[in-house]
Amino acid sequence: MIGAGRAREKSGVGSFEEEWAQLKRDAVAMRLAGAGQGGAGTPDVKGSRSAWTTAGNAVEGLAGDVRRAQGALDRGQQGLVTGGGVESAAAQSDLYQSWKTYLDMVAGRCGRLGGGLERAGSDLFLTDKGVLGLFDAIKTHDEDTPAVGGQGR
Amino acid sequence: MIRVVDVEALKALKPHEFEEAALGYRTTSDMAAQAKDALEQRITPQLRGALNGEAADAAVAQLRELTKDFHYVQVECGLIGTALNAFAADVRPAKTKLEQALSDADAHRFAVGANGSVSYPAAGQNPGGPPTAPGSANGTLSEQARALQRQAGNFDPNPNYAIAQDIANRIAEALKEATDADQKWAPQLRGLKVDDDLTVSDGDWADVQKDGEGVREAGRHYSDSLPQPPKDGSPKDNAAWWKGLDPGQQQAWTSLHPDVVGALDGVPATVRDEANRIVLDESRGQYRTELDAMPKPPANEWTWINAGGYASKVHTDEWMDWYKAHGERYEHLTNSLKGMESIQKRFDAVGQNDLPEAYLLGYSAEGNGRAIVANGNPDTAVHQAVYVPGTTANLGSIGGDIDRMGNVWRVADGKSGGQPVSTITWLGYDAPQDIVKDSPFSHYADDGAPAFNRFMDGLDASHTGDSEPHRTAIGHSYGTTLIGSAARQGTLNADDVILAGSPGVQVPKAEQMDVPKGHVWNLEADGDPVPDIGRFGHGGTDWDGPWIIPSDEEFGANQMVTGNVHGHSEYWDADSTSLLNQGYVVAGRGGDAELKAPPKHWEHMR
Repeated sequence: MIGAGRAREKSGVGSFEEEWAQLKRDAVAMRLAGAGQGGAGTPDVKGSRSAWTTAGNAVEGLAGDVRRAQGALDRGQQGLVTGGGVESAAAQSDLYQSWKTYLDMVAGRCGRLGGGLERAGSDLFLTDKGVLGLFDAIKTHDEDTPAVGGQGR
Repeated sequence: MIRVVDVEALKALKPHEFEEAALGYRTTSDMAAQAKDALEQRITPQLRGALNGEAADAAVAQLRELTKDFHYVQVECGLIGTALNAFAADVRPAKTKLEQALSDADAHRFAVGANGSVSYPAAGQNPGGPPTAPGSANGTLSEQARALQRQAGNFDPNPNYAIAQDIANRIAEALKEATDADQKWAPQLRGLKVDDDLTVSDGDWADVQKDGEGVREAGRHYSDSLPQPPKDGSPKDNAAWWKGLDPGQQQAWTSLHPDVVGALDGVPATVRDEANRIVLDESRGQYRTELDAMPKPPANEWTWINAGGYASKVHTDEWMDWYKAHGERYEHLTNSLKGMESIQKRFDAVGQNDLPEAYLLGYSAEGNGRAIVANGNPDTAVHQAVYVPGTTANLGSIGGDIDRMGNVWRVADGKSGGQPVSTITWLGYDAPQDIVKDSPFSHYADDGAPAFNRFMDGLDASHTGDSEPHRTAIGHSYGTTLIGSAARQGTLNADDVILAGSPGVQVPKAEQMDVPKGHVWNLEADGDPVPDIGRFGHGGTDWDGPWIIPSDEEFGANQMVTGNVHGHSEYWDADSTSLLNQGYVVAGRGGDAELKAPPKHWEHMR
């Protein structure tokens, strides 16, 4: 377990540490009680379900952080004259548009992944296979395209 | 075709607006750094720790992809912020020059055209000639033309001509400088446009490296204007330099010169980590891309020839041709990539087997490579341990050395009564690569020792706790020789020293190891041949005799029980007494380590 004092100071996740500490205690207690490994879709295993949910909440929280950064980026653009004969100003404006879009995509990914994690924890009827399918779908959604960076390995 | 920045454009251009845009990117970069750390240090390990199975694996894989996105955002937005600040710094003098010229023109009631020409009214007397005429001056940058203009000015009866010409020339200079800056930065900024997908590939990281080179090249002037790290500064000087930078300058240094910042002893561990991870990801992208483009080694590597009636196995001509052209580079790339994967594996292992977060305090893929990897943040730790690996250590084999310090961390953390521990693998020197050809020589240790002393001093300089940390130096094999050399050449900044499988430490007595009496701890396992072979190269000599090594009674080290470890390479095996005893020492509880009598070397050597 990571000592709370040792990790770097982080924003946005609140009482994440305590929640996890409790979670881990629950999980250990469960294993000692012979409840087995559990996994999503086994509604009697409370620990593993809340593990999914907590991770899901944290990842969705990151989407909020991305949005806040977008706000800062947007405020930074105010007062900038685009065009008007300075090429760098036009280039900066294009650059900004590309990053605004990219951050939308990152926030979207956080939302999808966070939502998937939460659903894995909350949907009592989801089987392991069903959870796997959830993440496969997310994976396919975010595959590489060849345009700028190229289809890397 | 060059697009010239005209008077109106330069008047409208506001450098500080670009700096404010830069601030937005810096905020984004900081957000991404925090998100990356949250994913790597908390969210992923804690999910991993609570869940097993295919579904959890798939989720973890997606979390890792998201982590890469954030690292990519962190690095690229850092670079963009720096580029925008550099552009602002480059155009600001031009803008100031223009404003000065315009205000002079205004004071004389001259009109300035969009192209920079300056119109002036008639003035002055022209005795014996026609009345003076109004006119218009066009600026020039040519020294020759300016000389002619000055001559003409001397004859022109209208005094406005010379004044207007001077103003026009200054405007021309300002426009030229602004155009140069604009032409330099516009392509850089366009090049920083982002990938259109969320998969951060090797190609993307190779591009990030190129982006960095471009901004570094274009931003040289800006970069030179920043406060420079002290030349040959002590870790304390380095720490003070870093603290003296404002956040924008810090980001500029990390973005433009991550290799410099990552290697500076005394700079905070989190900062070095951030910088070295940029270098790591960029070099990994670059190495993989290069390896992919290289012809693969021919499949038919071997053939049999009949030489003098005997069949011998030799390399095929085809393979030899390939090897001559690519072999050395291929080996360097594959070996380095192996090391990079080991480091990445450690980052991904946070939370597994209780491992704390990891910090990359040093990194380079050049030559044998460098890697300094910490388990737990040393700046906030009460107990620090720094391990120096021995012969054959290089970037490719770093994984095993990282694991050893993971094991020490676990034991020491369990014995430290809750006080934070940080254990560090220090591959900060060129270790001998061949046990027969290289290991007998001292120069590897002697060359590396000053760097080790600086690193240890740096741990002091960057430490943030209320009290001084307790620090242990751990050496294995040739690594012990380096630690001894560090104590001999300078002052070893440690409280305890652990020597395992030592071939000798250049000094003959424990008291010369720069730690308090009773704080040198030696480990020699049954069947470890190195101490007896090595003594003739690295043993210390004094009035008690020649070639004394830490296993000898005359040396005066505490001899720790090794338990059932055997040979030269098992000192850090999990659950061994050897590891347990090291854990006690690292946790500041050396008194609890189990001791034994020194092995009787001279007896069995006779």
